[in-house]
This record gives sequence, structure tokens and C-alpha cells, in this order.
Amino acid sequence: MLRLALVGDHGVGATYARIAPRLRKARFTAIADSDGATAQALAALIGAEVWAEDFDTLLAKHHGSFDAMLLHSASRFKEQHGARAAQAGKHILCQSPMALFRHEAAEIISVSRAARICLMIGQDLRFAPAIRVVKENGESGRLGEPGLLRIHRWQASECSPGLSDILPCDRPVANPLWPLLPEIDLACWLFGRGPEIVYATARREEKPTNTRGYVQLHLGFSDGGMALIDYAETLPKDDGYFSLSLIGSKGAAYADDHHNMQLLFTGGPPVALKTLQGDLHLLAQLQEFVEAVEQRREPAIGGTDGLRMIEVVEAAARSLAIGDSVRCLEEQAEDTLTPA
Amino acid sequence: MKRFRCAVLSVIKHDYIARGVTAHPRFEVTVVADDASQPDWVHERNQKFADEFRIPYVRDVERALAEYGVEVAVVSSEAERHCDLSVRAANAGLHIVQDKPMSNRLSECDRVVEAVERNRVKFLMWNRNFLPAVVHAQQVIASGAIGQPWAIHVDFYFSKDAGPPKGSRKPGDPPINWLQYQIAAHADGSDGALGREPIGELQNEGIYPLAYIRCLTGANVRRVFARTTAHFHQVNVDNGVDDLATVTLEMEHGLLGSLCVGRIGAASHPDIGEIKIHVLGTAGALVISEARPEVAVYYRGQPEKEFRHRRVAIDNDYLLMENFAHAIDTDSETILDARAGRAICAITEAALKSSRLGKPVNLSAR
Repeated sequence: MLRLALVGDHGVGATYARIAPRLRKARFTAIADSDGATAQALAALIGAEVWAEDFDTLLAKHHGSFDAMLLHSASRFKEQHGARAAQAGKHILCQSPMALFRHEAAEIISVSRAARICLMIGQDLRFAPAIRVVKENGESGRLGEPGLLRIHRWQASECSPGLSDILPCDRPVANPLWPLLPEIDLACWLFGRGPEIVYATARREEKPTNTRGYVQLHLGFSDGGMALIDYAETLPKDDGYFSLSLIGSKGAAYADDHHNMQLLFTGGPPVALKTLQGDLHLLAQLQEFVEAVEQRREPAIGGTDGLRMIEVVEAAARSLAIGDSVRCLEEQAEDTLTPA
Repeated sequence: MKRFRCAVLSVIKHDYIARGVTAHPRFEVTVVADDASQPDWVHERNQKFADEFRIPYVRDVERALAEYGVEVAVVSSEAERHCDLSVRAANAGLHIVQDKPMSNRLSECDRVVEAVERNRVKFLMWNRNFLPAVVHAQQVIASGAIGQPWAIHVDFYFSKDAGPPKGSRKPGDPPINWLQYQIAAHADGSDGALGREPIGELQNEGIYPLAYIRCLTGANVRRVFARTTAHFHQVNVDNGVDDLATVTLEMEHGLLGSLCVGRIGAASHPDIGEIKIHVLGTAGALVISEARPEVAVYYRGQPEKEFRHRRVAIDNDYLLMENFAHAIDTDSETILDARAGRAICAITEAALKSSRLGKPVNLSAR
């Protein structure tokens, strides 16, 4: 039975509390949250024996109470939770992004390899039921070679804690493309490789520090593959919208909220309601981590996947800054990853 | 109300435009005409249409325009002859309805713009802007429901095959000849951009989604970044033209947008294709399926290629011609005039250049 420690500070515990009873071969034994009362309450709810108010205390005082750490806290970047957890010999499920910069991600990967621990990057969109169907059909060959991936993700600003909100304010990061990390990962995953060229555009905001708004990313893959991704944080309120189309040489898959709307009539024009897909994606992701640790294998989303997302988003930021396309291979030439 | 006598100047690609013109009671096709120097297959197709409509086929364009009292030309030839026929019609004082693409050369589009404006005639590029869902989108945007649009995306996936799939040519086999393929494919309706020079789907079909964007935003495109590839069909591979394309659009007033165009194969959608419009505005957003309204019909023994969802309430042909008639009556512009058609041709030309260079390409402000 794998013993899990959850380090988080953004209400993520409630979600894990819902899925914990369904988890196989693992259980939560430790909780850390910057709010002590939250940590204590969650520990009681989830059945964890110990709790702490921060990562350091958890690692110092309760090191023997857990085997693996789920790193969700915003302070993971500043306090280098990833590298330190690996040095402590703990398996890691680190919420994406694993780091703010390429060299920091490379450091986590190197330390993890040296410590021979399992490093998985949390990217639950890969485990969403609709996306799994798309991926399974792609992998089976039914769709042929992927040619075009189109993704729209729009959210209400009040419902979307973009990365700009959770990043520590003392880090020099003002990359409006960070929220595209999940979609960038999906694109690389579905094409089976990183892009060779990136072109980014964004809606210019009047306030330079305001990263809310709209970004659009155009990726080109070798063999002619292409992806168009746009992300908006500008819907007025409530539900967001997600649409993914994968066009292959033999077939296509369309996972589109537009196809999954119900109608509500209360007078006036009907309202479209989205039937949600539940928490199964988070359970599937966590179970994959547990299985990977148990079987001593690479997890579905490894450190190199996390590094690749950061490389692409950095290339995209450079494209946005210079107003030109950027070759990813040039960007990756500066790769600081040292193989173990 | 005045009725307009129409000359059909070549009807060899598809005949849907010539038929579409007749959807309006003020327009009647009077004569089919083409140049005598055209090959036999051209004359055969022209003659067939003329016979069906019981009108003469004249192998002399200028004579037909002079002798049949026509006021409107309907041009549906090979792509590279579109503009030349339109210029000749404009110089004869005729208003023009023209098939897409406007041309495979921007310089040809410039000739049309000049001739149309010099002769003070009306020009309509055939388009789909009066489909019910597009009209609906326009109404919603005009109502202010989503505020000021600042991003627009159109997917235009056209689920038809185009001959053998990519990778099917055996070693030693010759590449597929574009024109011969298009002529042969006419029999089952799978022909695409008919012409002596190969044309990809971005140039061929791009006018429809780009016309939507123009209609819904009114904005000109200033910069493009594009990727194109031949992903599906051997005929496209052999002739070096795309059947799949994506374009990032940077427009006036800070508008952003994008375009996905592909002839993605019949297996990739149960109907004509996934065609959608996404618009983001300052106060909301809009997602439109171009196919709606539609009716689902399923039955035992249904042919594999029969569409399961059938579009209904389509009145695009009539409304286009109503728009054209109104432009003639009131000396106003059509919904997609020569300058708009030229602008769209410039966008696709810039997109193809961008794809070759791997760089964004600016468009001039003309």
C-alpha cells in the first residue's frame, strides 16, 4: 500500500477527498496546507494520520509517514519542492507546470533519476473521459496519421485561476501562454512528438501586468502536422467551453461541448447546460501514478513531458515577444538536461 | 420588377451556380457560351447544360454577349479562366456572378476589380453567407449580445474523398495528372478545383470561411501565419497542393482569428463535414454549427454515403441572387464584391507563402 502525502493550498484537497475511497493500492497518510485548520480538517476527512502547515515541516517531522508526495502548492516553484522531494527519496506526482523555467525542470528530472524515484507530471486533461476516447482511437490506428488538432478552451475569468494568480509575485514570470500548458501537452501527446515551429498571438491588454485575456497558438509538427489552440479567460461568468477536434488521415474525432449541451426552458430563450464528466479523470491520473510506482515503470506523463511543455511555452512566449515564428529545435539547443 | 437575362459563360465545373441563379424569379438563363478553342470535354458539358435548359450553346463568347440581349454573366469555368471571362463580360457591360476561387493569381483578380469598377457593373463572388446559421450568427452579433467581436475562428472541414488515398501510388506508377483526374471525377461529383493548374483546398474552399469572417466582422486581414500539407489524397501529393491547412489571422482593430480548411475524406464525418464558427466578443461568445437547422434520417438499407443529417430551410441561392438584384437596382455593393473577392484571394496567397516560408506574412492595406 503506497502512502501518499498531499501538499496543496488551493482547495485541491476536497477533490482528492472525494476520490480517495475509490483509490486502489494507496491511501493518504499525510496532508500539508498553508492553512493549518484546512490541513487538519482534510486529514480527518481523508483519514490521514499526520498533517502540517508547510512542505518543510511535513518533510522534517513526518518523513517516515509517507512514500510519495502530490505537489500542488504554488510554493513548489520558489521552495523547489520537486527537487527536494526527490532528494528525500519520495516518489512525486507534481502538478503541471513542474517548474517555471527549463533549467529548473531539468534539475528536478536529474535529481529524480539519480534518486531512482518515480516522477509523474499531473496533467489531468489527458485522463478526461472524452480525451481518452480520442487518444484510444488515435492509438488504435483508426484515425490514421494525425494531421490537425484544433482546441478551443474558453473560461470565465472568475472561474479560471490562471497561473498568474497562483504564481508567487516575486518570480519574474509574465508569460500569458502559461494557461495553454494542458493543451500544449495534449498536442505533443496526440502527435507523439514536440512541435518544430511555434507562432503565438494574443489580445493586447492595456495593462502590461494583466495576463488575463486571450492567447492563440499555432504549432507545426514534422511531416506536416499542425495544431491551432486558443484560450480565453473572458467569458462573462459560469461554465466554460472546451472543444477538441483531431483530424487524421483516415478519420476524425470531435470532442466538443457544443455536442453535449442540454436545454433548460425557464421563459425566454432556452439556456444550454453542459453535462459534466465528473472526477474520474483525477482518479485515473492518481491511479496511474500509484501503478507506475508499484510496477517501477515510467508513468504516463514523465518529467520529460513536463519539460517539453515548458520548452514549447517558452518558445511561444518568445514568438509573442518578437512577433515572429520560432523554431523549437533552436530553443531546445540550449537544453540543460543532464541524463543520469 | 425587371427580369435579367443571363449568359452562362462556361458551366463545366459544377452547375450549382447556374442553377442557383435560376432560384430567383428575376433571373433566367438565356444562353450558354464559351470559346470555340476549348477542348471537347468543355463543349460537351456546356452543351449538356444548354440542352437541359433548352437554350442555345454558342461557341463564341463575344457573339453570345452581343446577340442575346443578356445583362448578367454567370461564370463557372476552370479556375484560371474565371477572371478572364469576367473581365470580358464586364467590358461588354454585363453584371457578373462568378464561381470560386476568384482566381489562382492575384493579378487576375486585379484585372477584374479594374474592369468591374471602370464599367460600373456589379460583381458577386458565389458564397454561403446566406445559410441560415450564418445569417443567425450575423443577427446575434449585430444585436450586441456578445459585445464587440475580437476573435473569430472558422473550421471548414469538407468530408469528401478525392481519389485514392495518400501513399497509394505504387513504385513506378506515374503521378496523377490533375486535370485528367478532375475531369474523370466529375462523374461521381468528387471533383474539386477544376483547372489546368493544380489548386489546393485552401485556395479552393477558403473563400467560404473567409467570407464568413468578413461578413461577421467587417475587418480586413493584415497578417497571416499558415501551415499547409497534402495529408489525405494522392492527387494532392502528386501535384504539390494542400488538402489540409490552418491559418492564423491578424486583422484590423486588433481582431484575431484562425481558419482550418480541409478536404478530410468521406470517412471523417457522417455528413458534409464539421463546419463551425466560433466568435469571442467583449461581452460573451458564440458557437455556431453551420449545418443547422438539420433533420436526422436513418433507415434500414441506407446507402453508406448518404448523409444522415440533412440540412433544411436552406435559401442561400435565392438570397444571394436577391442581394445581387438589390445591388443592381440600387447601385449598391453585393455581399461579396470584386474587391472582397480579391482580398480573400490575397489572404490565401499570403497564407501559402507563409506556409512555404514558415514565417508570418503581411498583407498590404489596399
